[in-house]
Amino acid sequence: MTQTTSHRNPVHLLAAAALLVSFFLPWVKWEDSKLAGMEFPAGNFFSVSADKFGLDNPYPQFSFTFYLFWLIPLLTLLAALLHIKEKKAGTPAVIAGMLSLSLVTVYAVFSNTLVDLGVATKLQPALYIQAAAAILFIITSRTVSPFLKILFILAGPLLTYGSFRYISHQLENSTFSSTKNEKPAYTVNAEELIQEFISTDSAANAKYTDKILVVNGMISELEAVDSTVNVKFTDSTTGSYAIFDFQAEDVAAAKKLTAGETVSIKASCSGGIFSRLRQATVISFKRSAINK
Amino acid sequence: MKKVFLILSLVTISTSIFAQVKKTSSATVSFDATTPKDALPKADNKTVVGELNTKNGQIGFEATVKNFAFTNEMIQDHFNGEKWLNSAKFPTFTFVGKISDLSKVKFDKPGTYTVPVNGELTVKDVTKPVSTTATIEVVAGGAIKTSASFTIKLADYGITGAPIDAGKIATEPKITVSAELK
Repeated sequence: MTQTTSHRNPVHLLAAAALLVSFFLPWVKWEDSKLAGMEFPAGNFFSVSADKFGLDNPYPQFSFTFYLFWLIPLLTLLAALLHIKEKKAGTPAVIAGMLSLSLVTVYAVFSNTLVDLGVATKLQPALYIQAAAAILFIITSRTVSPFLKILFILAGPLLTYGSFRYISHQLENSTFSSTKNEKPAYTVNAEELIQEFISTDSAANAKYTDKILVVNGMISELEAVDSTVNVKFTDSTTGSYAIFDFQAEDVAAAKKLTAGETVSIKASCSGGIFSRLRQATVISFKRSAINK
Repeated sequence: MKKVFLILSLVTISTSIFAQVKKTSSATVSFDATTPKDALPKADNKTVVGELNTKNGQIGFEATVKNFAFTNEMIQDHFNGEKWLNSAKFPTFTFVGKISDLSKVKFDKPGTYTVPVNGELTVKDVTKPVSTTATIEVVAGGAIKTSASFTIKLADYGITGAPIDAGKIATEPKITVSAELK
């Protein structure tokens, strides 16, 4: 009578269970927002950071790749079932573990970035459980050599951290591109723009602030500023005005403008305020360019 | 008739030249919070509203916070963010002050004068006293050029955070003001 030896490892199955459950538990707490591991592939990770803390996904065109992390619970379940049936389950287990460790790294380094923004952040116990379970899941998986197991444990976090540092470096060293190359959100007449801010300043600010505008009008005044010049469109009745500060490459062209000249300017709108000094509305623009 | 017209013109011209309140829409305020660890937090705002009353020495400046222009987009976003200057809620910096010793400047005589200025700076609805020395250059023709610099403590205005603690943002950034008022 032959005896069969079970190759089921209870530790492997325990790791699978921990991996599966902790994926749906909060991993981080940003102020009063708790985010589970699942929030990343669900699309809520960057929507929360953008809405609440102003830190958005710098590469939204790659958002579709976030769905990949749904493989964590799927492959974990698959690997566990295959393991119970004593089938080959090393590959799905390793992939689930690597993805898990990569995602844990994303949460940890991004939370650190939010700290730089003054956001109170705290890593939750489930994040540590997920990391430990992922490591254990890889270690206890069969059909993979010990050397490769170490490699798979380290590869995810290292690649993720390296990518994060590279992206951070790119963002920290990037400068604004020329306003000439920016697509405007609105094209407006200067007088109408000023009237819109005078009559409904809250709505106008919500509509135009931080947007690229093309503003057309007759120059009321040019004011010399250090080595450059500002252009003003003024409403003669109220004294309210829109004022444009030029980007370096357009200063020479701006200096050639004259009062009374009709001009088209593309610029970033900084919004309108009511000036107590002038008792008038002031709409400011920066990085202005002569629009041709 | 011609004489009357000439006299009126002279009066108008001299009134504008020696107008009591000198104004500008294009004062420049520079904000420098750079440290040895980070050269990025530095910006200029060249559309600051400024006024100087030559009769009583009162000075006022108003700056739209979002018009401080940084070279780096990320720093620009952080500066205006809710946790920092929160420009959506507090869109303006204002300074209201006075030349505290008006005898040190003669606005009707071209020349360069150094004067003490005392006033109050309001950032994020927090108002703190500021004292500094300003240079006033009276130009023939009536224009007045002025410049001053001082430092502020970010903590006084409720601006704190890890980047400051980590030495990436100066605890006391330097503010430089320059204006040509007419």
